[in-house]
Parts: sequence; C-alpha cells; structure tokens
Amino acid sequence: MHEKVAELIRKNQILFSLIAIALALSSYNMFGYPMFHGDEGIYSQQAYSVANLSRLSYYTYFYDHPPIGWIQIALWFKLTGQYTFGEIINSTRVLMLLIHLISLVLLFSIILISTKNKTCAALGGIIYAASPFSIFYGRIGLLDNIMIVWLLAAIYFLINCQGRLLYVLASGTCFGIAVLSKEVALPLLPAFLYGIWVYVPNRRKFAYACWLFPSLSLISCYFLFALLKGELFPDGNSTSLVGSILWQSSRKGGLPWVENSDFMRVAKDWLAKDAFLIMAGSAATLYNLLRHQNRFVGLNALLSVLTISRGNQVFDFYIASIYPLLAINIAVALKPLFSRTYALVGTFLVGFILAVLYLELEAHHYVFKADVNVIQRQAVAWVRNNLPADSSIVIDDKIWPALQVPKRGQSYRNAHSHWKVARDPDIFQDFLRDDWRNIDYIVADQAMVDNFKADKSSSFQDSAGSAIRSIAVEAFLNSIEVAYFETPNADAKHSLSILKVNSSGRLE
Amino acid sequence: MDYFISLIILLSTVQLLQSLYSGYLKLYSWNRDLRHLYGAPSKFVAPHKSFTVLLPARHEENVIAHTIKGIATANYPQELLEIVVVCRRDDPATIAATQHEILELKTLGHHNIRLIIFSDFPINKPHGCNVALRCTRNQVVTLFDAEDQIHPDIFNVVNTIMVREGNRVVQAGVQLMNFDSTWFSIHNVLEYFFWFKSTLYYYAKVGLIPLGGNTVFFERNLLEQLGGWDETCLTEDADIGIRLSVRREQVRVVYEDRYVTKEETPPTVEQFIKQRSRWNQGFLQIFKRGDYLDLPWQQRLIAIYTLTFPLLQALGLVYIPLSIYAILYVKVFTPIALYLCIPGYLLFGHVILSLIALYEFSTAHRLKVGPFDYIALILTFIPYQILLGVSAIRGAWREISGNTVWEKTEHVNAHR
Repeated sequence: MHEKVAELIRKNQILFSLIAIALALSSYNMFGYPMFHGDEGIYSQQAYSVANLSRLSYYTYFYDHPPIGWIQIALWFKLTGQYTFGEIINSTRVLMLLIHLISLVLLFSIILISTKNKTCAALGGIIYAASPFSIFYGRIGLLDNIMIVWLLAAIYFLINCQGRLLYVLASGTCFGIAVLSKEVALPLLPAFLYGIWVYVPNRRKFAYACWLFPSLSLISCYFLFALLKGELFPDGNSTSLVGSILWQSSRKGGLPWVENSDFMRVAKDWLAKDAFLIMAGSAATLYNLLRHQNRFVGLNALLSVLTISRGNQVFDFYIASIYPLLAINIAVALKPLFSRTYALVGTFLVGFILAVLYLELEAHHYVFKADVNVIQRQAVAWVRNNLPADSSIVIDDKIWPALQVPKRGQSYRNAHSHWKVARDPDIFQDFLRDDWRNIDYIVADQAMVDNFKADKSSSFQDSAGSAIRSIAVEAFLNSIEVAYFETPNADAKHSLSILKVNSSGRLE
Repeated sequence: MDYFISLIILLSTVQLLQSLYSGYLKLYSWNRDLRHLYGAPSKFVAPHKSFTVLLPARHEENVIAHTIKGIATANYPQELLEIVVVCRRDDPATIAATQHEILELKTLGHHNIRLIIFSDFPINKPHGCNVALRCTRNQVVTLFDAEDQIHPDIFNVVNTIMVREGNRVVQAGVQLMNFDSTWFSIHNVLEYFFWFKSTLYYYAKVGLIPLGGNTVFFERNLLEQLGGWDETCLTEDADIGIRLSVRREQVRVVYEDRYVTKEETPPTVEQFIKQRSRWNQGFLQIFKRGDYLDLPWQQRLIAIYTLTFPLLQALGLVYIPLSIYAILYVKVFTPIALYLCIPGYLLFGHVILSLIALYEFSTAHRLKVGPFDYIALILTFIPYQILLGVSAIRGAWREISGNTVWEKTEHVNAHR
C-alpha cells in the first residue's frame, strides 16, 4: 500500500508539490485571516439547519440561492462532526481548504490536457495556488468556491472525454451541480455547448443530449422544488423563487464603465490584491478567444466576467469564481513559449511570474500572521460574561454560529442577524413585534455600523417599493456603545462594537 | 399511509436504477467508438466456410418466396450454401409457396434449396430447427425468419470473421424497418436499433448474451454438443445464448447498418402483445430453469436482471399511476416528492434518446422521417410503455398459469 502511494507521488511529483504549496499557503492562519464573512456565517447556519433540523435554513428559506451549496457543507458537517475544528464556521473553512485543493488538481489537469505541457500546468497551478485571491477568498466559506470546483470538474470531464459519452454525461452532471451550488454558473452554459461541439466531433447529437439532459434536469429540480412547495410564483404573502429572482435582478450596481459603480469599485480592490492575475488573465482570455484550440477555456472566463458585468450588484468575493478560470487562461495562452524554440523566453517568463507572485504575497504578508477573528472571540466572550441567555441581540451573520450554536457554553437563541430583523416577518413581526424597544443589544462590525448610519442595508422595501426603515436601525439610533474590540494589526484593521439599546421595553 | 409512501419510494428506487441501467445499455456503443471491436470487416477473405441456412416457416405463404430468393441469390458460392425451409405438414399453403419458389429458382440454376416437412409435435420454431439440423451437413448453421430480408454479403462477413478471428458463434444485426406502419412501430423499430447496435455489445463484453432469433451463426459441432435448441422454451434463442455463456463461449457481435437483416414489426397491437408476451414468458422460463446460476456473480446478476426484466416492466405499469397519485395528492416531505419525480425525468431522458436514435436510424437507412414522426414518437412513448407493461403482465400470467402454447406472429411483408 505504501509502495503504491510512493509510486503515485513519484509519478505526479509536480502536482503533489503544488498541493503541498497550496496546502501551506491556504491553511496557515486559516482561522485567523481573513475575517469571518457574513455569507460564511449564513451558509454555516443553513448547513447546520440542514444537518440538524432537516430544514434548508434556520429562518424562512427565501430562495436567495439554490440550496445544494450548503447541503454539501451539511454533508461535510455530518461526515466530520460539525465541531471537530472548533465552531461550525471553522469546519466550513476546512471544507473550503479541501475544495481549494481539489480545484487545484482539476485546474492542473485541465491545463495539462489542454496543453500537454507539464510546465504550463505547473505554472497555472502556482498562479492559482499563490494568488492572494486564494487567501483572501479561497479560504472563506462562499458558495462561489463550492460552485467553481464543480465547474472545473465539468470542464475537466468535457475536455478529457475523447468522445466518451459517459464523460460528457459526467460533465453535464457537474455543471448542473455547479448551478445548483450557485446560480452564477448558469451563464457559462453557451461555453459548454461550444465545448461539446469541439470535443465530441462525432456522435454530437448524443453528446448534446448526454450533457444537456443531466444539467437541465438538475437545474429544473430547483424550480420543481419550489413548485412542489407552492412557492414558485409570488403570491404576496410567502417567499417565492420567481419573486427572489426578480429581487436579485433588481439589485442594481451600475454598469462597469460607470464611475462609482459596484464593478468599478471592486475592480480597484481586485487590482490592489492581485493585479497580475487580473491583467494577465484578461489579456490571455482575449488571446485564447482568437485561437480555436483554446477558445473553450477563453469562453468560460469571458462569460464569467460578463456575468458580473451586467450592471447588477457586485461584491468583491465574486472574483472567487473567476480567478481560477483566468489562471487557466494564462497558462494555456503561454504554451507556445514553452517550446524549444522559445526555451529562453519561457524560462525568463517562469522566473518573472514567480517573482511577481512572491512580491504580491510579500505585500500581503500579514495574512499569514494577523488573527483578525480574535475580536469576534472577544466579543462572544464579552456577551457570555455580561448578557443573560435570553437577551435579544441583533448581530451580523458571521457571529451567528458562535452565539446560536456554539461548540461550548450558553447559546443565545434570541440573537438574530440584522438582515433577518429587517426582512424576515418571523423575526421582526412575530418575535420582535415590530418594536425596536424589544431589542436589547447590537453586536456590530464597522460595515454594519456604517450601514446603520447610512440607513441603507437595514432598510427594505415594502410591496409598493417604498423604503421601510428596519427596527434594527431604530434600535441602533437609540443605543450606546458598551464594549469595543479592535484588531491590533495595522495592516488588517477591523473592529466590533457592542451596543446597548436604550429602552425600557422587554420581551414578554 | 406511511407504508404506502415507503412502497412508492422503494418502487421509485427500482425504477430509477432500472432506468439508469437501461439508459447506459442504450448508449453503450455510442459511449466510445467500438467499431474496431464489433465492426464488420472492410475486406472479405475467400469463401471458406460452408453454411446451412434454416428457414422455419409456418403460415408464411405471403413472404416465404421473397425470403428464399433473397438468400439463394446472396453473394456466396452455391456449393457452400445449403438452404432448408422447414414446414409442418398441416401448413399446405406455405409448403406450396415454397415448392413453387424452389422450382422457379432451379430454373435459374439454384440447386441448393430443400424443403423439409415434419409432422410431429411440438409445433414451434425450435422443434422445426432441430428437425432440420439433423438433416443438414454444412459447417456453419444459421437461421433466418420467414420474412427476413438479408444482406447479400452477410455470409462473406461471417465467413471472414470466423476464418480470421476463429469465433464459433457470430451474432449479426437485425433491424425492424417499417417504422410508419402502426403507431407503435416506431418504438419497436428503435428497440431493435438500440438492442443490436448497442446493448448486445455490452452483453458480449460481459460474457452473457441472450442471442437474437435469427442471423446468428453457429459452428455445427458446437450446436450439436449443446443438443440443438430447447423445444420447450418460448425464447429458444435467448436460452441458447445463456447456455453458451455458461460454457464461456465467446460470441462475436457484428453490427453495421448496411449488413443488417431487415424485418417487420407485428402488424397489430394484438400481434405485438402476443409476440412480446411470448418473449417475456420465455425469459421467465429461462430464469426459473436457473442455468445462469453457474455463471460468475457479475454475469449472474446481469442474467437475473435481464431475465426478470419483464417483471420490472410489469412493475412500471403499476408504478406510473401510483407515483403521480403520491406526488399530487399525498402530503409528503418535499425532498421525497422531488425524489419521486426522478423516474419521470429519466423517462423523459429515454424519450430524448429515442428521438436521436430515430434520426440516426433514418439517416443510416436513408429513410424519410418528417417532423410528424418525431411528434408521434413523443406522443406515443407512454402508450408504448403501457403496451410493454401489459405484455409483461400477460407473459407473467401465462407462465404462472402454465400456458406454454407458442403464439405465432403474423408477417405481411411491410418491411420490403
């Protein structure tokens, strides 16, 4: 057995070296940096609900995303025991690490099959593994990370099919799961239709059927699920899939070229984090689109960029589902330089890219040292030491797992996300009775405080479209800070405030 | 109600697995290029093997003359080809038609055709074949049905394979052609298309092969060692295939669209149900006999699946209405309702496969298929499943009640 493993490693030295590098870069200080993300808290909460309560969400599931992403996290919880790595949000991060490594193997294989050149594959692998994006976003429990591993698997099976329909079928199945993990994979469908045309030149009709049948069937299950629950179309009272799709598409962020648009803002952020990957990836994608043999990977990257450029809201973490495709494009585009004719250029290029990657990581060296989540642990400890278990607390989603379903200690069953306080009638109507005075405390990070001050995210629209102020904002305006926590590291500044709501009202 | 839901979930699981597996079998040969394994030779070697062609015929006076002529005029030396038409004495019309055709072909110089008449029991195809087997001599024995239209080069194809590859059993392709004769013909035609063009490859690979009823070629001594065909079995062809598999005899499957033997679908629903229930009953007979139990476990499992397939089809007939009822009217946990829908999805997948297969079939045989045919295929898909279910139940019932009378299928020459 040991001999077999040794043989496997010997045969795949480059890949195993890459895995070791990725493992080191992505796991070191993985619970300390980056700060737990609100979405990470939401999906951990929802996965917990699936695993323990047989419900898609602790709150009302409102079709914000298809549920397969966090069902996979729930399976991971079941498989590993949800508290093995500390709080459940830690367990989610460990799964992300595993997914990151699988993505790396798939990415490496995709480049190797496309270029038949190990140097290209190794280069693509290192660009991916050492990208600051892998540390900033690859570690976070995002649906984008789960989606991308399935998408890479779909690409892998298609380009490796050699006309075999079972591989095409596997590709379609992986694509369907990718879409059900996060719907942003769906716009990449035309790239795959093109890919089938290229990679299955014979038996095309069967190939299209074998790809489209599993993918569309899986995707349609989402709609069927809503239909079976009587929640497909909006009826004014309950949540609905179509209603959520309309809501999501109404979240405008401005077209990319518009000053101060979401896209412009996050693009600047991405350039600050990994300018090389963004610039070289974009150039490589354009180059690959012009070359028949590379067009499939080019199309995938192009469509994923276009998906977030359509003028809707854009978040910085959306890059998580794009940068692996950009890394593939860079490696594939560079293949001609790794021939004997250009050996010198190729060597120089590898050296240059490695230097760039090193400098980028060096610029963000704090990500391996700073423990920014210490403030969350301090805030939770403060809550435990000072607040009774039945306190009604408005929190950010990232702190939900540690307060509601902690590994050890008292759970705070009345701690709810400010989003739920703003939007979920079960919380603001039934639980808080539409009265801000029923809120005792607020635990808020800087972004939440800024939103409250701007009266933005915690407002929501009524059916007529006019803004209604969340009772959480009212509570915030009537609160005083009783505790404040700040990260010591100047490169990674984060803070958390605990505010006591100045009210005499108590929940009955 | 809990028992009901559990039953439906169980049935759904069976249907789901069955549907996936049969989808896999249908796509087997398209999954990757198998032409190097199962294709026909592009060049023929000189005729070496001598063939005996058995043509069992009963009440086939409308079609037998065409068939005899087709075989007699095949591209193979007369001295290496022996054609024997087998009739029972109580069928004067077929006997007369055969004798007439033999005389006619004699005038054209064909002296290698004989008529053998028997008068004993049982009255069925395997008995006729066994009678003829004893009265013939050539090295390779094959049989065709009375309405078969063979390819003139089929003997060259088989001769080349047997000489070059040394196989003692060769199964060549059979294809129903008259896809537009009745509403169900299109499905029947596609069943053959999938079976001979794909599924048989799989069976040949795993070493368990229920052979077809014609265009199958045996070395005589092998057939004699086996004791010929089983006269008590309603699917003697499948039975002999299983017995060969038990003896680890490698069967060579050869399929190319141009070399298929062309046949016709049963002319009426009644005839179809009779034919299909006979097949189903025959499979159940083989299952009960248990020859396959001597096979290794993998082949044994496949044999059990194949032979009990009629029961699964019968189950399908019961399952469809039950699951629709459960989804619509029984309050179940949504994921369970979703699970119950999966067999429906897979059924839809099979419809898509059939649509593509219809295109492939019509292209391969240069037949004109219009949009209406595709629409008709979709609309008649479920009714055809019901027809299969009814035939399966009838076959099972006949077996339970011990009724083993051979129900003959009529032929009207619709494929020519």
